[in-house]
Amino acid sequence: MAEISIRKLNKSFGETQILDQIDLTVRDGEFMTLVGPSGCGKSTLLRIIAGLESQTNGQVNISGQPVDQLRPKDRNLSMVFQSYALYPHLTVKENIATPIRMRSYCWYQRLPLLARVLPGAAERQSGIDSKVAAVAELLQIEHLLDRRPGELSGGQRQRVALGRAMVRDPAAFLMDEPLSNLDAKLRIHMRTEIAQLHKQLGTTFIYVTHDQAEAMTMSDRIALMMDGELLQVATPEEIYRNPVDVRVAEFIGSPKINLLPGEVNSAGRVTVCGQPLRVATQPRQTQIRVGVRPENATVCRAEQGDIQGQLIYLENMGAEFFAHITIDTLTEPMLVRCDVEQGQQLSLGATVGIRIKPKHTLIFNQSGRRVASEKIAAEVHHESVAV
Amino acid sequence: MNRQPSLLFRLFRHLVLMSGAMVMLMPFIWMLLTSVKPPDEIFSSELTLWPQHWYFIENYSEALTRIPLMKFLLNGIVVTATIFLCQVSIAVPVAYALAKMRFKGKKTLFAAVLFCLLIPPQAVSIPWYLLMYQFGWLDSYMALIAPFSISVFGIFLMRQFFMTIPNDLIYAARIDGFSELAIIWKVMLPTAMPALVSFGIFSIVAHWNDYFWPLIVLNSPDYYTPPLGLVNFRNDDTGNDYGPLMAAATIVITPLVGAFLLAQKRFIEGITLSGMK
Repeated sequence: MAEISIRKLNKSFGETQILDQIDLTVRDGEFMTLVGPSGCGKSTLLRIIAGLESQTNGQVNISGQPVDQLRPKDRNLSMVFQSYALYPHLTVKENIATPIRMRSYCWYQRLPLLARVLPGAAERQSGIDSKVAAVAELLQIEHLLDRRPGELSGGQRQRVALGRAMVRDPAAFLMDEPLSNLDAKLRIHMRTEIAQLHKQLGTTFIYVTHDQAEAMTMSDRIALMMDGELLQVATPEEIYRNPVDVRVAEFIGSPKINLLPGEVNSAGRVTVCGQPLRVATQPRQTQIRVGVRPENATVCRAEQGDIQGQLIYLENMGAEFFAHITIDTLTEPMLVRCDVEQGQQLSLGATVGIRIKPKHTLIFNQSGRRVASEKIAAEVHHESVAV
Repeated sequence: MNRQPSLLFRLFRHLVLMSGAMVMLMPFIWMLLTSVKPPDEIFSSELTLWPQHWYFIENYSEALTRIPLMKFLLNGIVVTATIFLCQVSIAVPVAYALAKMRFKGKKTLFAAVLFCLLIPPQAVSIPWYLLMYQFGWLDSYMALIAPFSISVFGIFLMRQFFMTIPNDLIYAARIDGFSELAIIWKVMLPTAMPALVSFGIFSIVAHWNDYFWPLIVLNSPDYYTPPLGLVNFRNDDTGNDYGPLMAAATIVITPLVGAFLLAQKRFIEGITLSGMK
């Protein structure tokens, strides 16, 4: 178990900056997810933590000790890879045993024939066997121990890779998109399983993914990266409700958040498409963007809505509907969630109103940073706010 | 649309393929048949495929006794095995470095490897001969082995195969505690077995059958490789003795055919450079 802290870390390949001033502390026993679109540098960051790549400058500490000069094997970390990276010529059992064999034996104890006749060989072997058996039982792969990776399905290989990582009680687990080679159903299943494994082991996990759903469902905290920059580190709840940047708001959440161009009048009242909302923010800003998640707006009759538009498409998700509504002044349709009863009554092509819940409306300034906003109480008439 | 081609077409197709196979196989069949024929049948003016009198024991015992064929076979095994081991022990680490390491001048180095592939061995035989002379290695095993101890083809083939192995496997090995040398021999080499087997076949066949280089550097029959030994049956005084010659030739190629049949499956895999998945 260990706390991992990263201080002012930079990485560049020639002119291209891959990581820019990363500061991140992963607490002991925490499940931290590094999430971001492909090419944002999250895998590079993980490999730097593992010692597989070196940073341009900055520091990585594990349990308070700087590890920058240590080789990967001396950092006492385990890693699970996207391609599983099992040794194809070894059986599952040998694959899982490899990390302990390599660590607890010196070179002559690993020699193919000599190893068996050295004193203490039998005890060493039975020690390894019992550890492998314990891991195999935990992951339910006992029946696969004598097979080779080539004979296993994707999900089974995934478990073996987890087993190989778990077998020697590392300070922390690093996982590099471990689920992205699995089919959708298995991925959701393994998601739960890895999260439970984390609870059982209580070890620090650093998990890299580009899938925001994985990040939301599994992590204690999420670190969202984009273009080599760490944008926000927060709990899933916090990062969803209170994104600090418009890019965070766009990346987290499915379907995507609606971003509407808006203005603020001198009183601080936000208007979208010329219609005032019951939201106040710092006055005198131009070109703000108003973020509304699909579940924070409702479809209503045209005259009751904050804004009006035409319903062009209804997505039936089974338990809910997503209404795609075009608004005259906007290029992209707005997505609004509605429940099944309401969804069934809507008809395509109709003019409908959209009511936006002021409490959950997110305001982003010109440069994309979040600015504070608040709901204007219903009974207060909007002119009186201007004080 | 799974229509079977017409019978006529299928017959024609097989006929074409079979005649191609016959052209390839005929010399071998002729060698086998000649090795069991008596001399008068070999030299008779009419061509007969099947021997009228079997002369098997005579020809083969002649082949084994007239020259120390077993000694030559042993020489052949020593030379080809040593060459192959040297080639592997150099090609595999070099290929690993070229495929998976980051260092300055890597591209230039690989270009140099490709360039060396273009040099025919005959072109450098005189420099090599002079070098062997300077080292005092002429007429010894060293002269037979040293020029072939590095195979650029081997480096190229292994490098291409290593390129297909995902980097993650090497990262995993580093985290598990393998040293770089251990990664090469314990992870990369077993993974690259198909490529290694096909390279082995190329290398062993080429050096087992090599006639040119041993002929240049050897004088004493003590170090003769099998192809050189076969020449003993060609004699300017008594003419060619084809029966025992063909018997000896059959004995010489038997180990190769056997090895190829054993390694055939992996050989084909290696040629297609199939990946791991």
